[in-house]
Amino acid sequence: MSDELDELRELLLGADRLAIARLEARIDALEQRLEAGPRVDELAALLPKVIEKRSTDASLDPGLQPTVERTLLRSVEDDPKVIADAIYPVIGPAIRRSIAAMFSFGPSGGFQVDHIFIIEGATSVPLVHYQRSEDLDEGAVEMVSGMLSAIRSFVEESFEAGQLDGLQDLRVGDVTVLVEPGPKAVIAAVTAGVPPTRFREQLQIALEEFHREHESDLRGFDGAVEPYQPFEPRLAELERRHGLARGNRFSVLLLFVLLIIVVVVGAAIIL
Amino acid sequence: MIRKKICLVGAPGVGKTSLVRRFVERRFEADYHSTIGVRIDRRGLEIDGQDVSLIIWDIHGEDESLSVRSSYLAGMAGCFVVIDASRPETIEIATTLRERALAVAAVPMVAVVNKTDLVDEAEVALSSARLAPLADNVMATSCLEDTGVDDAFEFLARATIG
Repeated sequence: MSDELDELRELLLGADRLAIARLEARIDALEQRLEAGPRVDELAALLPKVIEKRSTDASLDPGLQPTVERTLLRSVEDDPKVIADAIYPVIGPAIRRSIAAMFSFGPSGGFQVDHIFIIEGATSVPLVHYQRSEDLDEGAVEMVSGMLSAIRSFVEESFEAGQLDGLQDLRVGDVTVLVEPGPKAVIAAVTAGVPPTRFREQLQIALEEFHREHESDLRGFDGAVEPYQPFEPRLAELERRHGLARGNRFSVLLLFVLLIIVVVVGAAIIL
Repeated sequence: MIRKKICLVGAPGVGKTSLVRRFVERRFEADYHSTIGVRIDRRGLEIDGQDVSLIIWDIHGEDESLSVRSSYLAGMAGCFVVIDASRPETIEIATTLRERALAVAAVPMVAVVNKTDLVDEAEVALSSARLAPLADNVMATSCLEDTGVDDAFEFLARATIG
């Protein structure tokens, strides 16, 4: 009789008993883990999922905020360049949008772009160059790039720290060299006439695009300049969009003379 | 095309500018060197089938009143430390400048014993021996007799491209 009852019980409750046994085993295992304390590996595996799950609401924000703020501050204290490089392509457009909202730009006449250089920041090596007419050969482009960089170093170091936030423009008479620095490269445009305000903005955009497209080339720069040449049409487009022909061509001699005048006059002011 | 910046440093009057003048094809002859303390020239070379453009920063001679700006040395791929064979005392400044250059960048360095036409072979050998520990190579040059100049630049160019 007893055997028959057991058999009946097994037929009716067998599946449930198995499930209960499994649950008991899991509870035992969890209890053992809790007794052994939290395991770093298990928590590490769970943490990304937990944060992702809670990312749609703000419940984690108060807890994370102080840590994120402290981490950012520490990173900036250790090496400000890391954060600056990371936000450079984003912060530029944001600043320009703010400025554009404050000012309205009108067209300006009699402006001409003769050369645009993109120069590697550490070595002063020209990476890509555009010229409206064939004034400069490769050697002259290299020398002009070097002189521009040397002049910037000279002026910046000659002023006391904090007095000058980077040399931006060199100007003699009607000719202006507009300079915009970036984290790894500098863009410089040799122009004549009054530059439209948007031209400087376009230089900044071009430099940001250049950094974005050539990030890995710039990081491992070894002097090879071929990788950057596909960017030259973009500089040509920049000139076509803004340059209004003025008739007078720039000569190599004039460009060198301009740079030397800048050096001599600059030195006289500083010394 | 590979573009490499190289620098020349040394005491005043050791002949750095003469070395560059001997080596480059053409120069823009305006004297801005003394104003900002550097002048820049270039020359193209072919090294093992590779076009190499040397952008040469001829940095003013350092003395008690004028020191070499470290920013001019930044980004260089190679460096000449030049002495005057007829003035062994220029080795002392060369040693100081070599240390400063290495602090900016650990790059191939060539010590140049210049103006060898002014001294005998024994004096050149003595200076070379004193410079040997300071550089990857020591080379003797004379701009007057046009000896060793191209070899020195070609050696450094080759060293910069590894």
